[in-house]
Amino acid sequence: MLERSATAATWPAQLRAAPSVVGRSMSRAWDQDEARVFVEALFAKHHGEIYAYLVRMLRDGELAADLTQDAFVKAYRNYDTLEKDENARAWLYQIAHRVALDELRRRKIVRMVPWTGESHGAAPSAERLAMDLRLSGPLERALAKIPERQRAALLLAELHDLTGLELAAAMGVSHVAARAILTRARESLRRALATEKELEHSAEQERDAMFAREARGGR
Amino acid sequence: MTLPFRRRHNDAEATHDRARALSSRRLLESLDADEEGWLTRHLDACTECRREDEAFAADQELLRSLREKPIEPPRDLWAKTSAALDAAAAKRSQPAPGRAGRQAGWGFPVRAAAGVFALLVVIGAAVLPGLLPNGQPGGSQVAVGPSLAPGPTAINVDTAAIPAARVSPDGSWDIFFTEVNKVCPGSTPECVPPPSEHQGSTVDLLGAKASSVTISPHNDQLVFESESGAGNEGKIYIVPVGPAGGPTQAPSTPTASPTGSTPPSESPEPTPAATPVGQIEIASGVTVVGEVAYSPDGQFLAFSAAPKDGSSGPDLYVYAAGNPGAVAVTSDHRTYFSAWLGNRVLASHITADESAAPGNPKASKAPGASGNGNNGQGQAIEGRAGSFLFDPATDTRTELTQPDVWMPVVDTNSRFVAYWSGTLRSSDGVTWQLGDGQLVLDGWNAGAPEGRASTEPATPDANASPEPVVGPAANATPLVTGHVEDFRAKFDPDGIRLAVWVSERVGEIDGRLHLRVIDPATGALRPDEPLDAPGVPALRRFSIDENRLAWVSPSGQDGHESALQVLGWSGDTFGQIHSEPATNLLILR
Repeated sequence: MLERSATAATWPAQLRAAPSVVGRSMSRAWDQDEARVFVEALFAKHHGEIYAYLVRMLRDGELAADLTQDAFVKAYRNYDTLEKDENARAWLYQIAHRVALDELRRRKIVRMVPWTGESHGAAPSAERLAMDLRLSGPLERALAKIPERQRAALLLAELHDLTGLELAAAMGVSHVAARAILTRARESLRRALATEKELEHSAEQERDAMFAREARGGR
Repeated sequence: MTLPFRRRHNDAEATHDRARALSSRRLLESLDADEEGWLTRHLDACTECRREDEAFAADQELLRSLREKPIEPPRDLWAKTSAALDAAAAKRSQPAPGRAGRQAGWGFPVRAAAGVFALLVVIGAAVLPGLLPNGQPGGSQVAVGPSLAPGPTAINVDTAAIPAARVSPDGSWDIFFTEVNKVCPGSTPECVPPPSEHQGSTVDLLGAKASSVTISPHNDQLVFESESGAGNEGKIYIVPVGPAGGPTQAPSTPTASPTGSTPPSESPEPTPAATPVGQIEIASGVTVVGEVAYSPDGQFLAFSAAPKDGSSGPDLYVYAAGNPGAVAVTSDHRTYFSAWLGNRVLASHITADESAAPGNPKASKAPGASGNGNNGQGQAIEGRAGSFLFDPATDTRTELTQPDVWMPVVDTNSRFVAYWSGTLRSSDGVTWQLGDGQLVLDGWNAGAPEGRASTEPATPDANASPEPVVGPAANATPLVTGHVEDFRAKFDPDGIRLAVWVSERVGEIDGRLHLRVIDPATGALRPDEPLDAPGVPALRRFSIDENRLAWVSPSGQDGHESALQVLGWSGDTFGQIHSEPATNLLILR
């Protein structure tokens, strides 16, 4: 089960609201073996939740797997920027969040180019279909419709149990801004859910009407 | 505490906003007793807020129900990750290329980089058949196609980072710094992957007028005008931002910039401020005309601003670090900020024939100058331009000797000046456009030694400074040919490269960017231009700094999205590179 990790008292300055770990001042020397052991341990403990977060953000299991891999490679490369091991989980989410946003941004770009299509080939994989089915409820559709950062805030807070400070660190904003984004996210989700429910309701009505017509016609 | 970025219509709504924020927050973390008590009382009294509170809680439950649908990672995830870690280790153990201290990593994931690069290959192949790029993300140069021109072609350049932002519809600004150390010659575009980005802060600037957002020389502050949000329109704010790669936090101690004026951060606890703490309001009831610019040392800000209600034209405002607000230093309502020259402001003002009847209501809102020729509009009032230097440290003003100099920009060595040489035109006496004249380059007479002319009290007086000649040397050469409605000019730090953005339409942000190079020995313009002769398509904001010119190309160019374009140089060798395409890009300084 997911657990909360860092406390406010032990929170390093660089993670309080830092948007990215790249380019941060070094807090410990980078040692190849040490970094590898550290990242392997991190992977063993957190890869499932990081993968799940990326799946929920991107709605693409294969892509999420690639990006999970990228996130751990980034963690490995930037291992020396983590001040305290107890903050590793939120730090990892910070990396994963940035990776996800970069990918979403890239996806918007690629969508503009006629050549694109599916990078995995024309036919969706079985895994992709399974993923789509899993994400096909009104809640998932509503989540997919709200702005990306708001979606990230909701997922991190409600499904991945990040505290307010961890949320701020993962999203690269101040604590106050993180709370505000979360409030906006709840408002957006509420509206999107209402829309989804309305759409579902009218689809049901249409279906009922169609059955009724068919029933009358068949009589 | 003022909360300028939340749309708030009145106090009652602010109360409901607070309730909503607290309802949301208590699902994340515990409220203190006062907040909890206030919220309980409010929810007892407000049905709508109670309903929202219940909805938030219900949605939380719904969200948490997703945990019942576990998402299992693929079994081979570790094998793939392990291989990627091995590859990263191998790369890391190789000597790192590039400048010392610079992060060699990419600002986007490996796969994303590969995707973008594949895109570049396709575009490159389509545009230049037979020519394929030979770079790969990660640095090593590998030949990809059989017809590839062999060998490295990139030009190494040592450039200043480019501060820019991506703006999200939700009002968040992702600030980033693009580092360019390689550019490609015109014959081999895409010879290297797109430049790397260094992420800065993310700030929420809801309601900010994009054209006004400017970052300070130390990258620690943003200044912007708020143009929406009840009660916040027409206010100009300074907001601290984290340093490059650092947190967005209110600076607790002053730095070598106007940050020193930032009051200690107030407690943001009771309300959901969506902004970094520490922002200060420096002007209100006005709208910025033209651009806002920090002095080179970051100690002053200058801009021209007109009343928000449009009742008159702009005056020059200066904000000094440590002061409570910006101060209008002119009162003629016809003064336009042009540029900084060291720590003095260059500005222009208009004298008009007041007897001409105003009344044409079709006034353009073009900032600063725009428009030449009469275009058959008729009833135009002709204006004469004059320019002056203003020293905010001593509050003194020096008129330029030569008339008809509009929006002059002088290089840092005080050798050259670029300006509109001609008249201005208005239909209403408030908004002015370019009249008859041309955009020129001229020599600059700095007047007294130390580049300082004799000064006078801060009142305009064109008659009382007969001694030193300050201003253009009356040896003007046309800078660009063709129709000019609007322009911006800026010199590079060497003072011999001049970027000129020109628009043929009033108030447009699309225009063409030129780079003119001056022969330092003769002071003459070189005939050849590093950018295409008619200028390259560019949005209004561009940035010229050490060894590079950066601009944003408008979308729709050759079917491409907007992108950050960079022309870099090493001496007289020029090359170009562009970022991955993106929307809502804005150069910040």
